Amino acid sequence: MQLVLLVLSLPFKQVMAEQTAHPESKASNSFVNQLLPQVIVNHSVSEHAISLKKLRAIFAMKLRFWGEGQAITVFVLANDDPIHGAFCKKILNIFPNQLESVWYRQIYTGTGQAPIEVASESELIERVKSTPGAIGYIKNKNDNLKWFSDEITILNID
Amino acid sequence: MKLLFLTLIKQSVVCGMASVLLCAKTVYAKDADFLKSTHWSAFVSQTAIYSSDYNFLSQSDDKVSLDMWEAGVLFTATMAHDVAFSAQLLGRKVSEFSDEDIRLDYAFLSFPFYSDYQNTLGVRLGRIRSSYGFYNETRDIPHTRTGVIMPQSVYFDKTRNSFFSSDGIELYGFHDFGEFSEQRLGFQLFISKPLEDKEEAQEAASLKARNLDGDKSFLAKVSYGSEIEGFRVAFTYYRPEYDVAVTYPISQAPLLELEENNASFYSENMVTSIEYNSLNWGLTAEYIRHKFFTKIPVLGDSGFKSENAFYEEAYYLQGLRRISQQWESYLRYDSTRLRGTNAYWTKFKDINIGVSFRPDEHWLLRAEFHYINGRSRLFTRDNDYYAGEPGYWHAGMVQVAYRW
Repeated sequence: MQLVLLVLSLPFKQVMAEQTAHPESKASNSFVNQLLPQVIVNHSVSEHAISLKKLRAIFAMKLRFWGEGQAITVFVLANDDPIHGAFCKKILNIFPNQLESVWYRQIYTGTGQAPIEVASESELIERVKSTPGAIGYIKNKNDNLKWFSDEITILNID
Repeated sequence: MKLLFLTLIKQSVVCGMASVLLCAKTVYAKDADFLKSTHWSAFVSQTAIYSSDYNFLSQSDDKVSLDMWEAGVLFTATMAHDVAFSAQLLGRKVSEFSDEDIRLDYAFLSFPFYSDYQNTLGVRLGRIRSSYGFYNETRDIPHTRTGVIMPQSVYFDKTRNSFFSSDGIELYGFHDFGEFSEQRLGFQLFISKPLEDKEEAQEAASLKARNLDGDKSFLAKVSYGSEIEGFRVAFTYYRPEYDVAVTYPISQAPLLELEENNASFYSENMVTSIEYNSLNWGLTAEYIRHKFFTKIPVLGDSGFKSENAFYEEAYYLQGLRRISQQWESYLRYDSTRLRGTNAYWTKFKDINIGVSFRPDEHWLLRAEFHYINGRSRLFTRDNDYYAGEPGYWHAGMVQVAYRW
């Protein structure tokens, strides 16, 4: 089995090296965390922190309500958008294709919906800002300082 | 060339309908509207297959065949009270003798009549794809599959149309452990009348089966775990029953055959599924115990055997390596065996290795190689078997898929 794994992995060692470790392992490095995608929610959401497992359940479209009963509306960028890719891999720890397969299984069994896909990061921010119960993400904190505090809430991941 | 041209026309017809009728992939309405949202997607795929021997899902015996293609339009609409309508129009060609290339694969209403923060109970009504194993519901979408073809041990194409969709009612429910866990515990109970594809009756060649007609079926499934990370497990019990007319020999010299129009058979399946996922790896194993029971009424006191059962055991083990957002590679061992015999025509053992490349969210390219022992998952209707044929053979496949 080890030989097989080696054969499968050999041509792609360089790609593997580029993949980033899970954010929890970098919790102590606040500067790096500033550059990671950040989870944003509409001001109507009372929570200021969220567990990774709950976040995954929300973006997998399995958890549909916040704790106080408010409906969750999920906004995402296109599957091949670099920000979406970074959010999936570095925050949720899943490849975009795998996450999309989870959506497909729910959509076509009538047990769930796809998230709302928007065209750009700025549109995503606008939609989260104007939609009660909405959740989305931004590229990182440094590039989006103008949006903080008074218009959207950044959720910390426990 | 002519065949390829016809194929492309058919694919264009199926997918063109979606493009014309629906201009946006996902549409959300205002809260007050009855129709909350609609979502559609469409796909086409073309596969080239070469096999060293036999016709494998195409006319590929010792030549490259472009017979195999798929095209589908999938639509779902969510209405008030989370009532949803889902449907798939599927065009598909895998056998030279499939004469029904475009079919309504499923179309059902889903109504979650109880829902709270963590629990949902609901019913589905209509033509429903059976939730058999982990992957039956999305097996036809190239972008959600792992390989060019599904593992034939569990998701066999040989009698696919008669086996994997049926008209009926399903009760479903699930519990999410959402606050502190991403695990979901779910169940499904499905009572239905199986669909039938009369061409697939040819697979029972020794009985000269005809007039295949779905009678009733029952499915029960429980599942637990997460599709995202860690383990998930499922167990499915599925038993479809069919009526059929058969002709079978009662004497070889002189040859005497008896025609029976009131025969029936059922297929009893128990599927155990387990999967582990991490960011870079997916490991899947599914095992099926498959019993066929044929019932032909006793003819007076003649003593002819009127009932016949045989058992099949099949499983696959699959390792998927997610190398990057574009590249995946996979290795699969796919095994089917008829209990009590080791003859090559009663088994199908397939070692296959492949690679997928997704240059963007629309295109998908796949290539895989199969080294196979046996022929029991081949289409009887596509192959003329003969004495001295090889037990070991190989096949290569290249697939191009596009989706909207």
